[in-house]
Amino acid sequence: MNGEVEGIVRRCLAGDERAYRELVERYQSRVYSLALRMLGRVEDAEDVTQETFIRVFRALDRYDLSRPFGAWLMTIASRLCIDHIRRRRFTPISLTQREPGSDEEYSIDVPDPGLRPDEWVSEAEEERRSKELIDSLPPHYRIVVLLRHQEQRSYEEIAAALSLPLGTVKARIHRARALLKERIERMRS
Amino acid sequence: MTACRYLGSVQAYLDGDLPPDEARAFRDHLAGCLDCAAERGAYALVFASLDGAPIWDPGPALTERILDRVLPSRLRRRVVTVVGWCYTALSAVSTYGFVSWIARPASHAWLAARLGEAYLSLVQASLFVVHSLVFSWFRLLDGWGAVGALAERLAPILRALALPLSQPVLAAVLWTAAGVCGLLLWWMCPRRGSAADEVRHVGLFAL
Repeated sequence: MNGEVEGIVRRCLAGDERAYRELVERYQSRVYSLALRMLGRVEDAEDVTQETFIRVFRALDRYDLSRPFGAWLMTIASRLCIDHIRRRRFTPISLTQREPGSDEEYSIDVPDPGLRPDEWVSEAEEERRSKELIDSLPPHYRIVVLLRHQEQRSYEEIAAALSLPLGTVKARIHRARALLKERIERMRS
Repeated sequence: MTACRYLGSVQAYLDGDLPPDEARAFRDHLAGCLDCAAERGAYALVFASLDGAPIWDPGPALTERILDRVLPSRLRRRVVTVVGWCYTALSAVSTYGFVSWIARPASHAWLAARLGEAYLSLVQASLFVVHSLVFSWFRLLDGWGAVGALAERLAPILRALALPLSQPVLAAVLWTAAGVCGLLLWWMCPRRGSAADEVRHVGLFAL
């Protein structure tokens, strides 16, 4: 598997356009799923997926072929998701505006960045339940849980990917699972 | 009632994070502890729901979008192809239009009239060019006299500039300086060899 991916990466470096397609087709679902779970909106997930591959291909000549390619790619995707959430949360906007030539200020409407009701009900029931469970977690718990369970990454790999201490990663994953357990128990009761 | 002290190990056990001897001991403990067995069951549901979360396929449209961004040459090729086809189609339509227009008798008369006008314009333009050239030639012949007058006016300045060369010391200094400049230019001239040799003129200015 690793040798196969290594071969594709080498062909990319040699300028083979078909190899680029192979890499994108092989990994885009994983990146997109992670981004969609983290960001909740299809448009944002597509943007992050595209940006991930742009950065990966731009840095491909510096990639260490002895490291697993998937882990490197998902590290970039995870960091982009976190950056995106930070930007979305902390985009500085003024809540008041002033007409030119006037001292009078008035309030502006701020759009809600969350999911619309129709986006919530359009998911299939099984997917919706799983999605709801994961979405109920705060983002800093969600990313570690997704990397652990969806990407099957070790604690050490997650710590390296997110630049977090190993203890913090373990604590967040355990706490996230405990939260999910409580939520499932509430749903069942 | 106090909770079992092993409850905190359930996640590590399911995660495969316990060392083999501790995992074996915990498995034995599970058989006899209802609290831990219930906790294990609850966490097993969490693990199953997280591990079973579906992977979504964004579809081929996103693949193409990504490839268009990472491979600009691909997009360029597509644009060139589209422009090429448009050009071909336009050429075919215009050729067809021109041939069908020229085949009509009314077009012949119109074309003959336009060609006659164009021929007349061409002859007039050629006569104008010939006239301009002849006129310019006569003005140039007049101009040689002006050049001679300018040389007469500049002669005292040239004599003043040549005066230092009549002094032996000044002449020697000036000729030596000219020689040094010539040698310097020869030395700075790029020539085949090592890279260091090729950039020695740069080194001169660095000094």
